[in-house]
Amino acid sequence: MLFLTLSGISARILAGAFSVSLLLSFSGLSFAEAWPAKPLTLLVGFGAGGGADTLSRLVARELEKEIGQPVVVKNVAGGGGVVMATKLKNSEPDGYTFGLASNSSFDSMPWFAELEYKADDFDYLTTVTQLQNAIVASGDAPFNSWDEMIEYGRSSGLTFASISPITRRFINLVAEKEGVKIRIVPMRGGLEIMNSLIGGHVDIAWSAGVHQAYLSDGKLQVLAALNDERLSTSPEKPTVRELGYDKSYTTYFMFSAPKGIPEAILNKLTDALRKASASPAVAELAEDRMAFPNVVLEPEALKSFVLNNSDYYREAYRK
Amino acid sequence: MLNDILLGLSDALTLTNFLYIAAGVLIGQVFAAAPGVGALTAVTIAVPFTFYLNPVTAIGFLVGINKGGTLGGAVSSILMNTPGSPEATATAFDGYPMAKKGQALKALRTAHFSSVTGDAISDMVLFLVAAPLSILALQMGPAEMAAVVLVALVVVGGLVGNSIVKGLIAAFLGVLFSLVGTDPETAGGRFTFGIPELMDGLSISAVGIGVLALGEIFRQMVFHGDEANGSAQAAELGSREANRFRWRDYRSVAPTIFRSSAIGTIIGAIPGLGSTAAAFLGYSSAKRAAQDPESFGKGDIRGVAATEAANSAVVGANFIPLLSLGIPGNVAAALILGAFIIHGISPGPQLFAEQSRLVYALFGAMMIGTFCNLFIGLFSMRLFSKLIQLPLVLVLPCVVLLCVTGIIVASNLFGAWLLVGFALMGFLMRILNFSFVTFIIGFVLGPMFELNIRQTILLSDGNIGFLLTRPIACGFILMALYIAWRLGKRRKLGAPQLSM
Repeated sequence: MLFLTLSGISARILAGAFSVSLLLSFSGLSFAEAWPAKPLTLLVGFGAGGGADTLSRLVARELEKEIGQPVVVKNVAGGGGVVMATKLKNSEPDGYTFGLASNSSFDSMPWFAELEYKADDFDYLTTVTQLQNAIVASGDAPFNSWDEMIEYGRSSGLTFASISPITRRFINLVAEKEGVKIRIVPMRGGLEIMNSLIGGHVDIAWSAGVHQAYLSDGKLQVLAALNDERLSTSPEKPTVRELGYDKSYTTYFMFSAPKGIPEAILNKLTDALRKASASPAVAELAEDRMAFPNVVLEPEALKSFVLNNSDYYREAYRK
Repeated sequence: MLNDILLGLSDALTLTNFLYIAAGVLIGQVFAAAPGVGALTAVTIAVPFTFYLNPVTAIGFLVGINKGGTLGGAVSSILMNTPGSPEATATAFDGYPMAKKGQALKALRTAHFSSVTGDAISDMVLFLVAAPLSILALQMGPAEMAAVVLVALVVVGGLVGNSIVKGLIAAFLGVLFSLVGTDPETAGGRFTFGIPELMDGLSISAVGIGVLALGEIFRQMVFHGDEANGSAQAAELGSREANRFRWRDYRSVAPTIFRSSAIGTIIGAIPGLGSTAAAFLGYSSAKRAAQDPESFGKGDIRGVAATEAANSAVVGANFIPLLSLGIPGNVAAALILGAFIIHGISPGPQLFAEQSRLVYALFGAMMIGTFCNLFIGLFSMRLFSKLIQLPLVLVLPCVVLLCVTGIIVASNLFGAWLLVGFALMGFLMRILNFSFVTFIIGFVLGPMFELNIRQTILLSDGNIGFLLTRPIACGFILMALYIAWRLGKRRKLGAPQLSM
């Protein structure tokens, strides 16, 4: 027994963690109760230094307090979270590796790009913030509402800055429904888009929340919210659903893990993660500094949210 | 207003800040001097540590690393001909021949003083005219950006080497490799072969370090570094006098430094162009302005000064769009933007109005950083110059190890394989006499050119008359045509071209 444990756990683990697991295996506790016996790894689907990374590192710090083990943050940037999700799918489902990305990496990207994974390859743990998706325009634009924008577009045409296939599909739908000619200009990243709007190089754009810093001095304006409900930073602006579109685009930064983690461990991890995500420090960073609502969903709600979206995009992609 | 300036500066001038900034500069110099590691890696690792510091200390520390890095990058270019990043490529053109002539310390000093001067000038521009310059940056739409890149491409075309055909082949090969990744318009994969790591394209660090540094090391290993070390050592002992950097040397390169600083500052103020473009532009302009352009590439002190002043001037100027618009000009600035956010500071138009005390504290920290860079450089450059006396048998394996470790830290194991592949390519390009310089330029500027031209075509709806509504873009296009005409004329006259 002693030798088995020794070779099984191997010398690479820290001495402290090792002695703890040794003790627990002697006292006859089950595997689940021994978790966590070593440091956890949080894979972040974005580069170091950005908003998502900052948020992840703070959650990791709070999670350490909950579980009493270090949480190592690793940045696996690329493809807007797709590289991370691929890596996560191929990692061991032992409850020691989990990841953060936007739900679009799981529910829509597998249908738009050829990827190694699908939405049901993962367990969904919880969310930490809701993004603030909106169609935005410069404060100096010749229109100040969605309807004025459509009217202006019918006479002069519109240019739209796009960052993903989903934003492209939505604006094409608008163009078709309203009979407006909209030219779609590809851009890389939210900040480049904000710059182009303020500089007057494009008329309208999709923003996932970067625009919020530019609202107070009138550099940018929101035309319509894309989330299910109106945005807390622009409560007077209608959602696209209110404007007659049978669509909404609610997105979250959320945690997931490879499928197959023993249920007891999964529950422990989820509970600890939800406590960390709802902690005052995380809430303050998300709400006060980044202006994103600190929404911490139940795992069941998140799971059905992702899988429903995935079904929807599978159908949408077939058309 | 004055009150804010004084309060801000006094916030900056604390002993804690001073020590952190000095440490940052030293870390930046050492990390960047090691080929393949780079100041960017240092900033990436340092960002999480700064969470626990107060905002001014944290940002000052990161800015210090960044500033130290612009100087440190010159070291491996000069001593070993192995640029640790694309922005220091042109430093090696004249820095390495100087080192071979036994003027390693002089080359390092030239880099040191040019770098600090360029940095100080661009900081001054930032302090004085950040707001008006940021308005200029906003005017730069896709059409203007495409036109600026066109100018850069034409200007650095002067570096194509003796064989235009081989130079162009290398340039287009660079563009070809830059296409790997996701198409910006359709999000379809290009040359990704279903490998998720390739979705964001080939990383500039793997390609740059592979072709520029590791490729050169392979060449030196295969050819036993025959000319490289032996003669440098002999000359080192020979003439101490020629190895001194004197006040009159500084005066002789001063016009070059000022020209390059202006180029670097303007390029830095425009988000997205970056220090590599500035460095090559600075070098080409200095060569064009010289009475004796044939001396460039053979150890001309102006070549080192032009490159280092230009790429360092980008660092300060990058803060112009960062502070006034919240738009980072390069990756290091993006990491620093992240640090701003965690400390509850949102850069952007409102920052100067709402938190002017903090802005001036940051300016104070930048001045301390420049001073530390000047002062620490006095000692570190002398120390680095001793490295040339170490036998290559010891140095080269260490450098290979650093390159591979640096890439694994910065990206992943896949990046290490890319690194080895591109190192082999860099090696082959050297023995077959293909210009790795035009390759790197194609790789760095290609995607910018592509994206901006495609955006312009979409915006104009395919109507060429659209350009007439963009006077700035037209101005740049005319400038590019003029330079191309001048370049062609000079080539016809048979003026000697730089070959590398």
